[in-house]
Amino acid sequence: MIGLHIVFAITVLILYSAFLMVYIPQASYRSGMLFAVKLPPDAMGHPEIKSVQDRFRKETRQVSLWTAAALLPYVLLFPWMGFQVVYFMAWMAGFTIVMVRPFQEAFRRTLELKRREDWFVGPRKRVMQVDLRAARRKNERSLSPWLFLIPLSLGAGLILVAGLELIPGSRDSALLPLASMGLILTLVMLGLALMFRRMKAEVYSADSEVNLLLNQARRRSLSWMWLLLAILENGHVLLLLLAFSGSNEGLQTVWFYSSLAFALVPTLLIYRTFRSIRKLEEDVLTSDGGAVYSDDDEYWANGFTYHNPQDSRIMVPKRFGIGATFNTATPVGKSLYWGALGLAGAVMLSVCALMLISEFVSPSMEIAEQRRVHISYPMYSMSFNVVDVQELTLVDGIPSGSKRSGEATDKVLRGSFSLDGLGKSNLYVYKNNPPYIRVKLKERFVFFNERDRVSTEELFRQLQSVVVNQK
Amino acid sequence: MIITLDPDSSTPFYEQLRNQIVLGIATGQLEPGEKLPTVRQLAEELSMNPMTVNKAYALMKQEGFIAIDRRHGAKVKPQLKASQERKELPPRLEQELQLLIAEASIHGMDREGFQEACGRIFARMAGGIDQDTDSTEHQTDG
Repeated sequence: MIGLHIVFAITVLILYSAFLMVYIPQASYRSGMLFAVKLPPDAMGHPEIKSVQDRFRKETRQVSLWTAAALLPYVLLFPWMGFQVVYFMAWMAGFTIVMVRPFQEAFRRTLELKRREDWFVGPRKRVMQVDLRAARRKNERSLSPWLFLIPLSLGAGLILVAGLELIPGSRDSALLPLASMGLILTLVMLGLALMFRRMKAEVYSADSEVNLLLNQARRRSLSWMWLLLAILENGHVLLLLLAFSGSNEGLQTVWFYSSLAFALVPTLLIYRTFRSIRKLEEDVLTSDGGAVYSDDDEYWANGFTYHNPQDSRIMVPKRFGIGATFNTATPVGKSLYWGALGLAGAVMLSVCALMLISEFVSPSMEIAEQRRVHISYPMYSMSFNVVDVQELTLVDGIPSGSKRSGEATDKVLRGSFSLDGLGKSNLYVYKNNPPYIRVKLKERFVFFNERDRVSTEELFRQLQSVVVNQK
Repeated sequence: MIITLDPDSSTPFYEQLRNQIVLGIATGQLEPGEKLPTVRQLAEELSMNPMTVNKAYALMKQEGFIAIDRRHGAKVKPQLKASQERKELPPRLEQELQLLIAEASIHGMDREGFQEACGRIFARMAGGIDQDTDSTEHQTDG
């Protein structure tokens, strides 16, 4: 299970670099903002601003060290993988809450100072602005959404390949759900591309030409980004299909790690796109001199959640960092915002629940009165009639194969697997702990063992006597 | 041309929109023949009801500032400046001006001061009024 630790280590690195890269630059005055609060340039000389910056830097250092120290129990929990995963999920949740605290505090203090000193930038009361030329021609230089026919046909191709079992070594069409991810992700990208197309044109400057240039450049880059992401994700799904289908284990590992590394490509693409957009905006507006700043601090709760009932847009560009965020004042934006949070929470909780079940619950085999054998284990229970048993043996090894669904940890194999030479099999075993009871049914094999040899042998004898009596 | 609407103003949105577009045409920020966003586009951009934008467009069409074509959408009337050489005010404008002068004189402004203010404001409309002879050359779609 070294792979899991590597994945977690990479996750920790990504989390730290993402948080530090997004929040630390907020302590410097950029694009007319400090800690996501719009301030006039001369406010930067105020002594209290300096103290807010120092305090933010100190607190960020502290929380970074504390969260790193909080990873120690993860190492101590090494023998219990289930608890390790649960702890890691809890750590991630804690990390996201704790790491934004210094920023939230700095935002609150800067805003308070701004109100006290009466520093306002741009029109103070709320106004609605539109540049007629930019509004009409904002999408003129964007790629046509029809180009999504390319990734859509790639996605359909992947489904066809998996459905027809064309990939060498694929045993059945169990890969269909994975293959369809290509098409699903393409549709998600298409949806996002259309949503971004419809986004309101920004009024950056008093000069219409500047507004037109920046809006068109932004939309052009984004339209390329969504299209490339959709194409890349289909490639990613192909790599995963190869990783899960080949019979050669060495090659499978190569595919698996290359698909993990491949995950970085879309991330870099997104980062580069938003970075180049921001750079162009800063360059053009610095030389333009007619930049339009409006004071909309009041709509940015905490500095990063947008809530503006006067704005019907569902998504708006983020105030800092990259990407867009939901307008929680619109019903759709609100449900998407909470839906996304809820979904992430639900995924984390269900992973935790599964890991705890795996740690605490063991599969049990029971021979019932009506000559039926029940194996109970959450989500993977099964039963069969004794008369259907074609062969019953006690073996010392299990052929290698791949998991279709269920869990495969360093200790247990539970769920549905595809084994070399045997095909579809249900496994309920402690790994490297022979013997194993092997039951051959009409369409599948079942492997089962107890934690210790004596109990497994005892269970095997019981099962054998029932089977012999029946015959 | 940037339109700024104030939700706190007592002037209704459609009238604010109409007034600013008319000012844009007169000051040359909107060129003759320049296309305007569609009703739906503009309503989305301003987060407002399309009926409001529609009302402003209909009003401007009726007043002869813009032309609305079923296929090409709305645009500033191309021949607006050339056909505008008139020495007499339309009755509606004369009525409004009369009220304005009345208010100005109640506030103590004399004829000279008023004419000076008028001259100053007229000068701002340079893009429109003073260059009316070469307006046909401006008929590019900005």
